Amino acid sequence: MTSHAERELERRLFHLQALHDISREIAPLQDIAQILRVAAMTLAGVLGASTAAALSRSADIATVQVHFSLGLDRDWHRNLGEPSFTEETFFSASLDTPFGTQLRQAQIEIWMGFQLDEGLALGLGLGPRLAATPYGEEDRQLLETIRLMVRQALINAQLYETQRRTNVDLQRTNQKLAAEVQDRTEALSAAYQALSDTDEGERFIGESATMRQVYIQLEQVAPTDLTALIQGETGTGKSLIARILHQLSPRRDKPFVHVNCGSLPPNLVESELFGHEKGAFTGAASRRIGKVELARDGTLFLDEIGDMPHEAQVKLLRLLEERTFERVGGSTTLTSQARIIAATNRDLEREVSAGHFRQDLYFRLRVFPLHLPPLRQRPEDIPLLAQSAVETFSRRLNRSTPIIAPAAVDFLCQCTWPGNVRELEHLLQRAVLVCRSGRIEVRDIDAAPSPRAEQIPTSDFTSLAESEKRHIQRALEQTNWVVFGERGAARLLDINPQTLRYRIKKHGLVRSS
Amino acid sequence: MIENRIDTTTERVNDVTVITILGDLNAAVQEQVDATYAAAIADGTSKIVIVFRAEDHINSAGIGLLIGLVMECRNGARAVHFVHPAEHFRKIFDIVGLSRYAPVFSTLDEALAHFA
Repeated sequence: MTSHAERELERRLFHLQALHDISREIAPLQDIAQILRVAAMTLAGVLGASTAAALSRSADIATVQVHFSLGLDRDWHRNLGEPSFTEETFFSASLDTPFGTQLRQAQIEIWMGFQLDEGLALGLGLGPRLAATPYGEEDRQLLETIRLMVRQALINAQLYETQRRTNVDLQRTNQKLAAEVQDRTEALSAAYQALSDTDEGERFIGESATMRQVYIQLEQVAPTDLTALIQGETGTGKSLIARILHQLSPRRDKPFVHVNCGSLPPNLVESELFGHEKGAFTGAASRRIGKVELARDGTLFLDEIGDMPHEAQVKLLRLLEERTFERVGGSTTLTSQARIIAATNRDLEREVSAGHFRQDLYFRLRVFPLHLPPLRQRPEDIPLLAQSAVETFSRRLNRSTPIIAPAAVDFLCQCTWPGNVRELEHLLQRAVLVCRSGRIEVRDIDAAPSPRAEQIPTSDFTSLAESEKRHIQRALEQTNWVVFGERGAARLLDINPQTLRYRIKKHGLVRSS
Repeated sequence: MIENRIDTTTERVNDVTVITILGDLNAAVQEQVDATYAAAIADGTSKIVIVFRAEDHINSAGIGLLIGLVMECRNGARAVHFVHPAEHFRKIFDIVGLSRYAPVFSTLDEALAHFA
């Protein structure tokens, strides 16, 4: 082989090696500036360029930025004017444009451009060769091959950068949300703590899906001034929820005034709520400040609202609508900024239908209704509730806390609990007292309500058809045999009136004289 | 970029500064090479020899790096010689035209003798 042939072979092998080198060098890079630097160095090395440079121009920064320069003055690119970043590799000598002229003036002989997403334009240029031979078409083709490899690396880097920014945004959002959750959790814990401090052992316990829904609603309504209506069976914790609502609200440092409307004699309800002036009625020896005034800008909790006498309902409606009231026997109109929370174990809608409760007041109260599920609908909470109750009562009795035998826990979970959490707590209070050897067994809770399976006495067991007949009969009697309309039996039973008519006929029900 | 690191030594032989590079030369070591060069010329030397080992590889980005160094020496009116025992790399230096600006020798003694 002649020395010229050997040299040519060596050159071609070097070029092949250069393709391998650049793919290895830039493949792992995720930064556009790094890729440009390595590409410019490789291009200069493979073709022996005396100078090399890498430029970019982004859509938001109009000026050209230099990423890399080899063997060039610092300000060489300032004479370039407006560079062209078209997707190609070309000789500056073949470019008959102002940009071509500028490249030649800067002694850039080969130029390659890249157009990426988001308006990002990049360019790589090479100056004269160190060797005596000028660039040829074969060199340009090699550079075009390298350009395509570099282009793919740049696209990948841009995608990586976009992904990275998205991840950063997501992380920030995530941190922000986590902080919010933390704040809310702390607020909730503080509220629970405050409650525990004032009323030992009384905490709301429950991890069931139904209770989580209640907690979400609590968080939604607590920071507002909205009137809330808490509904639920006896013993479900309505009073506790009202106090938690107050503790979670911005009014937590203001008064919380609890009025049990059901325990007040009807003739004293108005005086209790709104106060009275001296001599307003027999026995009113002095002025009395009512609960509404005592609540000031805090929270007024009206428990057992369904038991409120009709006359008081009228005054309460005015308080809700106009925020004004007068003391009994007084003529001065007073204002109140108290937030109203009401609670009842009655079906107020039914009470309204029956004419026992004002519809307008009902609508005013149920701005934000909260329904507390009965314990039988969240049996998964019973072990937690039982454990908490046992700990509380043991502490009060100054005893070590007994464990609850698994069989006893199973037994508790099977009960129907008509008295709900309150009933469970009373039962366990007794169990803590009577249990032996630090262990509560089923025998210690034998006074518990009958488990579900045993609750329906077989002697009274009736067929489904008979039950339906009796149920319809009851509804018809309650509605005075009116089937259609708002106050009709079909509405009461929540079925189609035509269906009801069919079933009345089917069961042979007739109105007695 | 290929993970890489080199070791360098710099010594003075008469009025020549000899930089020995131990390890592969590629884009990853640019900062190290630039720092070594900057430290070597701090005393105002005008003659530099850069020595490579036979077993160490120089890829095309490494050649580009050396071109930058040679241009820097020219701008600073310094003469630079290369020493590479492997004939393959001496040919590469020749193909890319580097040897026109920086003579390449197979031994340090040859390079020093050329400066003398």
